[in-house]
Amino acid sequence: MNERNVGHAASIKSKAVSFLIGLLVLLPGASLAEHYDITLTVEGQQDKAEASSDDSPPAEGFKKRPVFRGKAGEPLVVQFFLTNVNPHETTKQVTIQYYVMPVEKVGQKEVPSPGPAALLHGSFVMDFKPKGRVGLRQQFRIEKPGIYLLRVESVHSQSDHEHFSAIDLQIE
Amino acid sequence: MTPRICHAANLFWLSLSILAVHPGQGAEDFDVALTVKHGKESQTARFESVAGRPAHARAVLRAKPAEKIQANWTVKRPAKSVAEDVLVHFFVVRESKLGQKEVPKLAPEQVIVESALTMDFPENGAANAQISFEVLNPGFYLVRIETSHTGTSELDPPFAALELEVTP
Repeated sequence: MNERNVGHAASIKSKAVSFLIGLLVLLPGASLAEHYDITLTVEGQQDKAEASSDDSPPAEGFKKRPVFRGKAGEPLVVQFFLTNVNPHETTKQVTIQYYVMPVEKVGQKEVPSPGPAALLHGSFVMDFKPKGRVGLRQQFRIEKPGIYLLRVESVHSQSDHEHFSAIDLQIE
Repeated sequence: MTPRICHAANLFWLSLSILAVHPGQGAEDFDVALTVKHGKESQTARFESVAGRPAHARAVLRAKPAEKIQANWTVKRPAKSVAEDVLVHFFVVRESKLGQKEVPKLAPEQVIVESALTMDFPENGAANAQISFEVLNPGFYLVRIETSHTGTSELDPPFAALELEVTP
């Protein structure tokens, strides 16, 4: 085995112990009459908040958003898993995006679109077969005190509604 | 032909027949590309194969702590067959030095960002992502996108990788 193969063997080993991969494989999809099941969590040194799936429209959904309380500069970890729970169809080229944007107040109904002010922003474009899923785990910090919206959402999912999960971040 | 040579010849033809029966099972049936950028600086890597190819240095992007960095990756399947339940795995993880041969273990405290998705890739099937992140601590980091499924040899996975050097 040459050095690069050793490197790959290490990669397989690291993959085997990867927290994210383990959860992606092991977590069961919810058996809901919905398209996507979402679990979103944010964790800091003192607090942790978790949110589940909601529907849009309306943009703010139907559920009250959980509130996470943290301090400026504190190391934070965001994690989400989104699973296609529609048992019958593959949906092509769906966009899943996530972001952290400043907002004016906790529970704000207006949902900002991710833009240059986003502290965190990412997206995936992929096909979703039944039980297909995507997950992410990321370290980040917020240096400026304020209220922020953390949100993961489907876009253009070929349905009359979209799915999202969101948490308000109250940073002091 | 001695028995040993005959046995070797049989293995050779057996391997060819397996390749012929499963033409869509090779690692090269995926195109993998990775671009990492901040400001006007960027580096790009494309599919690298482990087996049978010379090692070459990974491209290095240099950045400052807390600088906003964006990674874009694409995975496409030009092959005329369906690859089912493909795992597409992306991560940014701290490493000891530039050019480190071993992929670091993905210990949560060392991983800046990690994502994974599963999907079927039909002919011309594709997935892509844009992920922004920042690195607060100076050091060296591996940025890697890799794919795996039941038809991919564990010794020859399609992947692309770059490195980040973060200095004050």
